[in-house]
Amino acid sequence: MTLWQSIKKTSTIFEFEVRKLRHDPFEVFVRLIQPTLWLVIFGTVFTRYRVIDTGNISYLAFLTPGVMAQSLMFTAIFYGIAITWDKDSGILAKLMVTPTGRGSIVLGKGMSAGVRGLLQAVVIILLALALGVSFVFSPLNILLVIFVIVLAATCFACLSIVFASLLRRRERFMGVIQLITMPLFFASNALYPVSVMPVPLQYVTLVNPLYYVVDCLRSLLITNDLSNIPLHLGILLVFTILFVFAGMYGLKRLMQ
Amino acid sequence: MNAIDVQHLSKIYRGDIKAISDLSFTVGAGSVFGFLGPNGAGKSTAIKILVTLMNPTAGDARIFDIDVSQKPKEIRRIIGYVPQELSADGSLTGYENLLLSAKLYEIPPKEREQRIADILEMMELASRADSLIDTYSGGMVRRLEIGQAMLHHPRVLFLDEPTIGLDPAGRALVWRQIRKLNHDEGMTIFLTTHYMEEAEALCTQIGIIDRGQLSAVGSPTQLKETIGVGTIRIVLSSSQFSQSTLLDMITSIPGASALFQDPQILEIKVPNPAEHITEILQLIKTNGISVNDLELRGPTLEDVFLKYTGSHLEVAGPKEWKSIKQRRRSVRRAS
Repeated sequence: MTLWQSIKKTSTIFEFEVRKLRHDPFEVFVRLIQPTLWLVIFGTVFTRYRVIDTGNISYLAFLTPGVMAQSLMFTAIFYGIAITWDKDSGILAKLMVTPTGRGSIVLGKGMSAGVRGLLQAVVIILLALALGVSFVFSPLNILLVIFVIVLAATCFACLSIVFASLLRRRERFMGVIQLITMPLFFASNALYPVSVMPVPLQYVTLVNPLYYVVDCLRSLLITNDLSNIPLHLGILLVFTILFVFAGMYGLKRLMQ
Repeated sequence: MNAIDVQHLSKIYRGDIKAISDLSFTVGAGSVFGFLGPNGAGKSTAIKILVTLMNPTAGDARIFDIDVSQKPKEIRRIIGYVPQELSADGSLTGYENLLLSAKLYEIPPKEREQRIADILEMMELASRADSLIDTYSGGMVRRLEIGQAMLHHPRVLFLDEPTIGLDPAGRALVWRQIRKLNHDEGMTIFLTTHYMEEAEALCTQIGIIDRGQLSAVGSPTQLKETIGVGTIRIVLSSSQFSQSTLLDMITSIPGASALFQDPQILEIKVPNPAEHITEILQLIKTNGISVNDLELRGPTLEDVFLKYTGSHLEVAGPKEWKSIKQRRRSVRRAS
């Protein structure tokens, strides 16, 4: 299969996932409630009482990219459940019998989680603007933010596919995913700077993809300090590629 | 030329569970091959290996001389597959489901719309093309799925339980389409089924699989000839007689077996029933009973099935179908 065909197939899988979302956008709206609560309640309270020292930016500005990353992770990480449904209903089998590479299926489906993430990001930004947060709106930064969001959603959705293929049963999958999301969230810089964490936990953040997502978004949207971007984006890319390959293996395993 | 050639195929799952062992058969090009067997006989495993979803533990399978596990990518271009479950995506419309398949099967953009329109027309779904699949009946979903699987003119079409749970009208329509594909396009069809009348109506060749091995293969007529016995069903006027005496007398006829389905209903299996009918009626008369009703029939595919598998078919009833539909609804909710 040529590279061009693979790209076309990936975009086809992506396109139809987005069409599904368009037919039934209920979930997208529901997924907007949580980040709103984080920003409006948690964010404003913590800003008012200056509980966490965030240097020369307000806590709300510090928190906004964190909430963005958190909400996209919480949405994408449950993506595996859709794959197990697809498997049980024969949709996945039918897809895998077409001349479509496993990589295209995993990547196309993973990237579609990015669309949900982008919609959430737009709403979060509008909400934060209303709460008085100011953003860096240069075209390059915005393009990079879009890239980071899609990459991050793909990363977590593929990780989720890997878990789904390992755990197989939905009940187990839900349990394990619930179990890992909180540590991923707390061992990141979404709510507080890494420097306030206990030292051992600071090392854990280095292998937490969410840390790199938050850091990239915060640099691009709030601080405009782009010095870490190439490295952190690179690490996020490596994580994603790793999970895409693991997800491809997972799909094959699911059908056995 | 053989469309499918399976030689010494085995699949052993984890935990040493043998799904199929040393399975061999061939399917001629242009035929409609029915794969029959009780639940758990290995039908689904065999079909999954043939459509490249699973690798065999041993043996090999070829479709038009292409090795299934060596060259899965080539195989996927020449086959179509309709899984047992209702696998059209419920959150997309009929047209979108077809468009998705058309794009994945690399049908050139110029031909795509025409091909989809033709399929919708052929499957009698044109008026509902833009409705979500969730609003389709079971028969409509099935027709759409067959349409999806044949968009790219596959050389072999695999159908896993194509009419499970459909009402008689829906089933008749699906049968008509299957016959048409086979007749007009010369497509080889490989199907599994639980329904004997379906196998009888559609298949030119039948393979019976039991406990992972092929126990019989042939045309429906050939298979029925191997049975050699027919059935005589007699409704008696009363039940005031000794059943065992009557059974003893009847089973003294060479090759005959008999049982009471009901105190007044006697079922006799005997070679050449027409030859023995007078004798049997005479025996009943000597017991002082008269006959209210009588039915005589030659061997059926069900008799063939029973002979080669020793079990009755478990047919999916409305309950099973309901669970399939429920599952589909949940899929829509989750995705």
